[in-house]
Amino acid sequence: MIPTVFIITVAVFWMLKLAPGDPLDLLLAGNPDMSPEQVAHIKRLYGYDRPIYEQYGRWLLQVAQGNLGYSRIYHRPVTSILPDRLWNTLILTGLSLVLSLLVAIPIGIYTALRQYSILDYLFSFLAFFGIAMPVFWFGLILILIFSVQLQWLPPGGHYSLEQGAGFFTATRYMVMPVLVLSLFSMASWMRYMRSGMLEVIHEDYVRTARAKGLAESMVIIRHALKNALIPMVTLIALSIPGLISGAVLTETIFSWPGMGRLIYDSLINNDFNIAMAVFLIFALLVALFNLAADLLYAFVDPRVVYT
Amino acid sequence: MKRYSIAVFFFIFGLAITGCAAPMAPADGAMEMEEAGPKVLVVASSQEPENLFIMWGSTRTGSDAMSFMWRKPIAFNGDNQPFAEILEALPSQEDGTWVVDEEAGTMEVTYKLRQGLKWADGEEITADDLAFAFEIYSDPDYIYYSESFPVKSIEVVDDYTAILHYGQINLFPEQEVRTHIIPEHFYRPLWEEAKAKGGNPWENFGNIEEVSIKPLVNGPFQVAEWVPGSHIRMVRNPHFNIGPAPKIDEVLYRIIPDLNSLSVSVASGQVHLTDGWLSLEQAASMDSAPEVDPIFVPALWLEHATIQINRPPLNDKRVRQAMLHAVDREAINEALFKGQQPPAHSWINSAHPAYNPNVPVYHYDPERALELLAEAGYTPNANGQLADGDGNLLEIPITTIAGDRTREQVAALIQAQWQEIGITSEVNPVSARLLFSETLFDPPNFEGIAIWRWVFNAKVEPRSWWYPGQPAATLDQLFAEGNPWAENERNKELIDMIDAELDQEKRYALLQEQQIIWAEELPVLPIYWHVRVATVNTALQGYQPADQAMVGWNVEEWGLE
Repeated sequence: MIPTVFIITVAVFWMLKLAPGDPLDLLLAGNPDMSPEQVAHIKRLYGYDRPIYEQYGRWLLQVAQGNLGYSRIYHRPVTSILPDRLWNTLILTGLSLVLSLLVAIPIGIYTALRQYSILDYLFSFLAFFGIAMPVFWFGLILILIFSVQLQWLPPGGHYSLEQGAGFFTATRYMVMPVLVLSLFSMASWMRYMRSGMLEVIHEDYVRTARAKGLAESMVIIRHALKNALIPMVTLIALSIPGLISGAVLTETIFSWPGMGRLIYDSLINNDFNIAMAVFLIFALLVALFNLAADLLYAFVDPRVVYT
Repeated sequence: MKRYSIAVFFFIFGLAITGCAAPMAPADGAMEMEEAGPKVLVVASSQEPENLFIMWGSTRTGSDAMSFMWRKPIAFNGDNQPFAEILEALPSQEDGTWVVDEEAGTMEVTYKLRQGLKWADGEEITADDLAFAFEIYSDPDYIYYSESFPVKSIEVVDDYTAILHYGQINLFPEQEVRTHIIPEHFYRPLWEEAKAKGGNPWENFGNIEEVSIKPLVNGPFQVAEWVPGSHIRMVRNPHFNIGPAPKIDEVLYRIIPDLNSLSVSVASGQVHLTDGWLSLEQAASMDSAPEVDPIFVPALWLEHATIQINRPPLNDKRVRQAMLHAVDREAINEALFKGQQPPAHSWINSAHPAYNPNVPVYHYDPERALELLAEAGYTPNANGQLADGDGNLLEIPITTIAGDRTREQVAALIQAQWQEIGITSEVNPVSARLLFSETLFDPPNFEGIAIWRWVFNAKVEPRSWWYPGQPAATLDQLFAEGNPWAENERNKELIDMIDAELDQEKRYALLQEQQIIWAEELPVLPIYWHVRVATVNTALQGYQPADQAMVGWNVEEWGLE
């Protein structure tokens, strides 16, 4: 795992440096009072004029000492920025994960058991709508309806905008972003669950369970659902690193200060310390959750045994 | 029973959501206002300020946020005029506070500070604070250190008087907004500590919270909290006495990166003020929000096309003139900007007193364009495309910023109009990062023209822009020796004379002559003048924008109904 993470950091650092220009070029372009001499001076101050390997070496040494450096955008230690952003993202993505599961799994099961019923058609339609709907557009439509027209919910922002915000105030700020963020996963997981259930309910062991005279609920929950959930475990485990990385579009539309926007801003502004810290964390998480998904197989599928 | 379980689930879920969706007050801050709580002004920007230290700002969002917290010796007001903010009066030759030694080529400017003014910690503002800011300014470790800064030293005479010694004659000491004032008693120990720490002293200094995030200020508001990516909350500075006490209690400076979301927040009454972030199109859509007034502030921002002037075909000024004649800029203004962004005819805005109304004007005239091109050797071939005697097509590619909808539209219209008279053209959108690095600079690497924006100031100083060999900046290689524009001796002569002239009227006369040469030569193609779009909620009173003034220059006079 360590060599993988090391290679990822080298590749990311190199790619970041390959991108043309730096923030100082933009300053130079728009500011008539900024002379090339001043720009060269600032580049020297920030070490932009040093070779890539030297810059990477300095970063690696710093990280090895437990220091992720200072953000060039926010002028704070990276370690003081990440926790808040991570927490904001986890609230948003965690709630959307829970909501997606709470909606997708029961409906997936129901539509599989009542295949070709009116509700099956209705939920299929809604699922395709959710998969096809662009997040950006859906978010703006919700804002127009619930914020501009009805004025029920704030159009965006973080609940810290209101001092002493309580549970309900905080929830009001999260309703729309959570809905938008969960729409796609809710819709796609509903379809996965439905097809997974359809596959297993026609299996011999389900027929046998029914033949034994088990109650229908026992047949569904203990025999069918347990097997249908196996592919869902992989899906969910692999989506967890995505939860940490945030959702750039949703966070941007709703002005939610989470990890997605932090990454975007750091890349746009060449804030290398933030970008590198975030990618380092992602690399570790992806490796870790892949491992977790493999281990979980053994738990949900007795046929898998690690020796 | 099971049949209804899903319906029940959705019913409960729906209740939960609608329960959270209580009817909302007009603005986050306004919600508190309705409960007779603090009056909170909500200002929004699409970018995060980089820091809040007055000597460090370089972006507009940073300057905007700082304008609610910092006051300077000299600033600009809503009439675009400089005024003494911390000084008793603007320096002038009449009262002896501006003394020029023409023989030595130097001058002295005396700053007399108003007495009894306070920092936010209650300490008095003195001339030592001015001198300390200059001490940092003169330190090679300072981020914007420049050897060309005209002030060479500051002599503190007493607590309220300082003499600025200029190493050269400067025409605008009464407009010198680069002189700052910071509390010496508070920042000197931090500066010394940053220098003693080793490494990069400015980086050490800038990473101190009291410098970049929660500075000690002298303006009407000070930072209470800064939530990165969300907002900056500013509360009243209890010791503020540079102006009257503000009528509003808090300023909530929100960061809303998506411009559509920002526009919706304005329309829904959640944001009282945006200044310079929304487009003309978005401002026009506020028709459906009667409580929002869009304001169009004339700005000295010139949308122009930088030209590959050193190489054929654009090294021939007849081709450059023809290109302008072939574009209907009035029609572009009407079609895209609802008449708000008029064509530019000079590098000086027509509202400026130095503008020459008699500069050559290139109205839309395709026939004249074809005549000029014929004189330059380009005539239509069998396919109707303009080509030279050897059959080489007249090709003028247009480079612009990818994703910038307005610029892409302007580029497409220019391309279409050029094609109508037979100029072969294509639009090459490139990212802003690429345009402002490898495309325009280090060295320029494009063909044809590149469309972007220059920001001028009211001092109209031509040297850095139009004098070959000067920083002109950074685009110097486009004005390299060998092209007719760079070798125009009268242009250089006039700029030398403009720089030496202290009489404003005479200076304007010289500038007017220089503009005629400029408009004849067209070293860049002027396209249009921008306006800055502000949106103001009708609840906000007293906001007075101007191109040179900072957004919150008079925030203490603003009121919220």
